[in-house]
Amino acid sequence: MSFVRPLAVRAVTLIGVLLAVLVLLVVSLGATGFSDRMLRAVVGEEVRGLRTALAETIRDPVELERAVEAQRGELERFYGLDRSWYTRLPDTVLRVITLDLGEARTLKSSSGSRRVSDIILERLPNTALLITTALVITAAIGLVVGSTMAARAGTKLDRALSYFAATSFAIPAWWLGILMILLFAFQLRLLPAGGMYSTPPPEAGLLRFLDLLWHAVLPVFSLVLVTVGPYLYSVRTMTLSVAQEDHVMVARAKGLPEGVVVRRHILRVAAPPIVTGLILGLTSSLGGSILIETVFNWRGMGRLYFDAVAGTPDEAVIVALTFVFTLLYVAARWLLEVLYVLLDPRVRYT
Amino acid sequence: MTPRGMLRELLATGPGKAGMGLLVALLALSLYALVAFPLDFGAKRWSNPSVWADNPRSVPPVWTGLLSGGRSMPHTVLETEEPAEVSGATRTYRLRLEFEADVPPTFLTVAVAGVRYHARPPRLEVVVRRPDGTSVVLARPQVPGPRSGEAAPYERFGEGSLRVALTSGERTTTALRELFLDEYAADVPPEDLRDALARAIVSVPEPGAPDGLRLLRGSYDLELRATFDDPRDELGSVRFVAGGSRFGLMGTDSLGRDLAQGLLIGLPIALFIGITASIASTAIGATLGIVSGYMGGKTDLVIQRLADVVANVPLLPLLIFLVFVVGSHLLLIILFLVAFSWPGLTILVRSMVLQLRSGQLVESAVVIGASRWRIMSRHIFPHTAPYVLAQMIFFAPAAILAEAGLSFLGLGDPSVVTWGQILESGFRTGAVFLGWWWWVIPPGVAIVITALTFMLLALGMEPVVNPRLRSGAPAGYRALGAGR
Amino acid sequence: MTPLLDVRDLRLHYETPRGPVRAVDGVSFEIGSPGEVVGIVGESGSGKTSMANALMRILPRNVARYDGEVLYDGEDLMALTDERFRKEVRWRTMAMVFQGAMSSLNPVLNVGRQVTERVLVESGASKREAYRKAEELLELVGLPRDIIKRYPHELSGGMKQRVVLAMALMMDPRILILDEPTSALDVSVQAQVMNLLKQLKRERGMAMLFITHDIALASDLCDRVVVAYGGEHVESGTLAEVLTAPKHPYTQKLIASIPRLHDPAQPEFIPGRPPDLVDPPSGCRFHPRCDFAFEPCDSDVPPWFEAGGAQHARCWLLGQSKGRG
Ligand SMILES: Nc1ncnc2c1ncn2[C@@H]1O[C@H](COP(=O)(O)OP(=O)(O)OP(=O)(O)O)[C@@H](O)[C@H]1O
Ligand code: SF4
Ligand SMILES: [Mg+2]
Repeated sequence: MSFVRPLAVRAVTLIGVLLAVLVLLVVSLGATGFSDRMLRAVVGEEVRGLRTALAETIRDPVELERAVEAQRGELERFYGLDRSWYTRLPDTVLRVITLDLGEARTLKSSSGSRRVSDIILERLPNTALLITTALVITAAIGLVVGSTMAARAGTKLDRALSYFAATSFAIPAWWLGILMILLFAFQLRLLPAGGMYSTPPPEAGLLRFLDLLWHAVLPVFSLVLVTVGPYLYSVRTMTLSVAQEDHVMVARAKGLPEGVVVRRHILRVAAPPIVTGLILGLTSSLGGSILIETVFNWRGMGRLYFDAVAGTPDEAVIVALTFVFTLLYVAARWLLEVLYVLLDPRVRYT
Repeated sequence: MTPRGMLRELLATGPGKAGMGLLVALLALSLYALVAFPLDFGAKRWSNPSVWADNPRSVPPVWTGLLSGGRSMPHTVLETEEPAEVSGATRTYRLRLEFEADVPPTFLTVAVAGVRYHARPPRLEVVVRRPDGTSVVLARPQVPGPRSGEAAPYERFGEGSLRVALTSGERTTTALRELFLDEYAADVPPEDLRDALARAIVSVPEPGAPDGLRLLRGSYDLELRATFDDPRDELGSVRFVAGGSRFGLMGTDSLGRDLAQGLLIGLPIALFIGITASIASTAIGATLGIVSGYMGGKTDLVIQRLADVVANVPLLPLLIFLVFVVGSHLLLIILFLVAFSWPGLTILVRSMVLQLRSGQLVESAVVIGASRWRIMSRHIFPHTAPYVLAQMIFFAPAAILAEAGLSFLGLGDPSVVTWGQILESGFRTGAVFLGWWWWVIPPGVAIVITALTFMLLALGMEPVVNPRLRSGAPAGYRALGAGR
Repeated sequence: MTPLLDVRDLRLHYETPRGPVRAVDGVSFEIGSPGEVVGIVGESGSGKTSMANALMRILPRNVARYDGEVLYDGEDLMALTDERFRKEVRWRTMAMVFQGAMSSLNPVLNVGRQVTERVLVESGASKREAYRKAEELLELVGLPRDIIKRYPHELSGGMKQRVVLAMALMMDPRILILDEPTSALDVSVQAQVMNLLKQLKRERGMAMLFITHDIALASDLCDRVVVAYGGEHVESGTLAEVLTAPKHPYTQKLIASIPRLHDPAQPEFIPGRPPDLVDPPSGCRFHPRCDFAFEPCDSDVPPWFEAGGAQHARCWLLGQSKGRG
């Protein structure tokens, strides 16, 4: 089919992005000696365990030391510590690409697993819930308000809107979150300041879900407030520029009702860039989740990232998460491409 | 369009005017900050707790007193070098504290500096004489004796001073309990006293009052009595600090740091980040775009592929990763920001150049034999200039916000003070949950205002960049019936 | 007998920072009966498109003044409410082919959708019926049937122009307004479109308002010609009258500027610039560029003078000759 080609071309680029990020990760870990330190720590830990085990059987301290050293050499070879970091590079890249993300040092999943993939998978839905809810609300408000504002371009209200958009862009979502907590949780005591469930959490079922929503109000609200301004302004501008095109005048001259003109000949034509804006918003709030989840102690991937960076750094988790973020990012970009092809016949044949 | 023309067009818009005004104000303020503060303020002072030791901790700004009503306790530092009274071997240093507030001081400390003695260290005694004539000995600070091998005269506290907190510890508790028993025949349980020592020093016991204490207003004489063994012995200075219930323009954080100073010094740093990063990023972006579009061929292909890859990278996670792994020096952070932000402009400029290249202007320049470089800089760049400028303005707030985010995650450059870091320490200390708004609201407001300044300028640039929207009331939309 | 369309003193001014632009400043003309083609000829900026838009009530936001009478079969269309105008006039009484067919089509809808949609918003319209008619019309304008599924970006300029024409015919309008329907096309396609229009006139008895800056092109199709200058009309008459005996100096220049294949004389250009419609010249708007301008021209607005037959012109020269003769 005609639109397979553009999508495939795009997919290749995006896979290139994935690889490039991965190589960047591995190279910066290797070149800064980070990766060596990580592996040494792992080896050291295993050797400590071995020493206690060996001490049971080998009494002579000199003998014990020799046995331990032999084991250490073995382990170092196993982890590739005897080679320089760049010779390990292909292996590492391959491992991460096959989603073999390794074990966390300190962090655990709620079921106690140390496997990084378990930990991340457990957090993924929480982040997804947060940002998709915010996205849906932003999209709804942005589309309705943005397209109505286009009809009032140049009025006082329209100008006020552009100021709102600029301000909204200038506000960091995480700081807005702090304000929200101060106001709604601390001052008014209306909403929970953070976390995902009350303590103790309600039994499973509807109540639990409602509790979750209750806790999601402030983070979602913060996210929406900072994304909706720029978004509705871009919807407005996009709609406005389509509205000035000749075919809209023709549609009116045809005697189509105004509603049809707006929907079919303005919004529908402006849809591809509008959807682009939306997906770009999604990808940026994906990164932004690191901050907002930290503020609200929302146990998603973002908070996990923060936990892995702050306190005792958990390198395996950091690498894995950066990769997963890139993966999701790239997936969203590709989704955008698919939507674009569906929405705009012009790109189908190029 | 000439730079002048652009400026005129920019200033013709409301947002452009507002943004310009703000920018000038911010630049002036940061110039002041740069002159008023040493460049190593962050490393040498901000992160050095002893600088802030005399300040009250986590107290709101002074001006909040105006709003809340009631008299707040002003932060009071009293210092003297001369004894008020000398009788025999004892010199009395006396300082007067006028206490008229509705709240007690947050703390009371005494600090002694420049002690020099020849045989035995002087014996010190801190006494408070209260307005009702009562007095109490609050502390007997110890000056360390001679060390073995040290020769007289012995110098103590030449730099740094002997600081004694008068509002904590068992000693003060006992002294006050005895005072209340002896003078007012009131038996205040030590558990009650222990948590309200600062209040107790300036109160009389009264059943029914909060904490069982009623504030006693009036003049307090704070005395340090020093008894010397040798007439040649000396004492440099005595300082009493009564911690205010409010402090400075912006209050203090939990280390007693003056937030007003942190906020002020954060401004030039934020502007530096925004402006440097955006200039570098646009310079790279525009150059690559022009080169890519004008050269074509392999160069174009390589630049386009690169731009494509970099444009699709998740910015924040990668920034965090790189700063975490490579380091958090401010210039490094800026470098990373720049490294990921040029492609947008490159792609835009390239497409403009492709259009221009086929245009007459460039063709005629080629005909008269202008060099490639000359064509690129003289004939192509000026056409892209408004877009480049708009992008530059737009990128500054993005860089400021990104750095703030990094700082908030604890990945900021520790040698400088940034608003993000102030927010981070506030958030980590739990200021949000304790209601210490003055610690977490102003830095955020500062970030927003700075970012907004650039956003307003970007908004003002819109008519320059997008002439179709220039008139503000474009024809076409809602044409139906508009005329009737 | 009442004419099919009778336009009287139509005005459309636009609000601008400099003041109102008098793009259509009191123009009157008529289309007598079905099958009659009236040409509106004038240079760029003379307000031709604005006049067509005024007829269709396609108005930008910055309208400063919009009035006059547009009598269709004796009924004043200007008095209709917007909703009635939309339903009864647009595409039924009058359909229009806009200047610049390249951009007249919605880029994300296929041809079939766009051609049929006006019919389909009517209650009780059948989709099958609508598509059948669309195919018929598309065939009539010389397009292959399968074009119905194609998107605008897949079509050439000439094809788009034909699609737009077919689209305009969907509701069987009584009057077709054509705003420079061929100016963006190359000569051979232009000829094809002109033949098509002639065929429409001949076979369907379609009344048309043919707007062009090219008086030669108008001569190919029109029964009567109106010459527009600076937001006003300055001459009207049958094609033969205007073409062979132009009375207004501007018309004369216009005709002299037609390049002639077998004439060694160089085509003339009209010197000077088109009038500023915010602040038009006093008296006769053409006087700054007129070779014959004399004493009343820069102060008094010339009225319409009869020039024999159906021909009329607004030039003081005619008044003079009359006065003398
Ligand atoms: N919305 C508007 N606001 C202000 N001025 C306008 C507007 N639309 C058209 N004009 C001006 O009105 C005058 C007449 O324009 P119009 O498009 O009607 O001319 P035209 O005869 O169709 O020219 P062309 O042959 O170039 O199509 C021009 O000077 C034009 O600049
Ligand atoms: S009225 Fe005068 S100026 Fe106008 S066209 Fe006739 S002669 Fe020329
Ligand atoms: Mg026109």
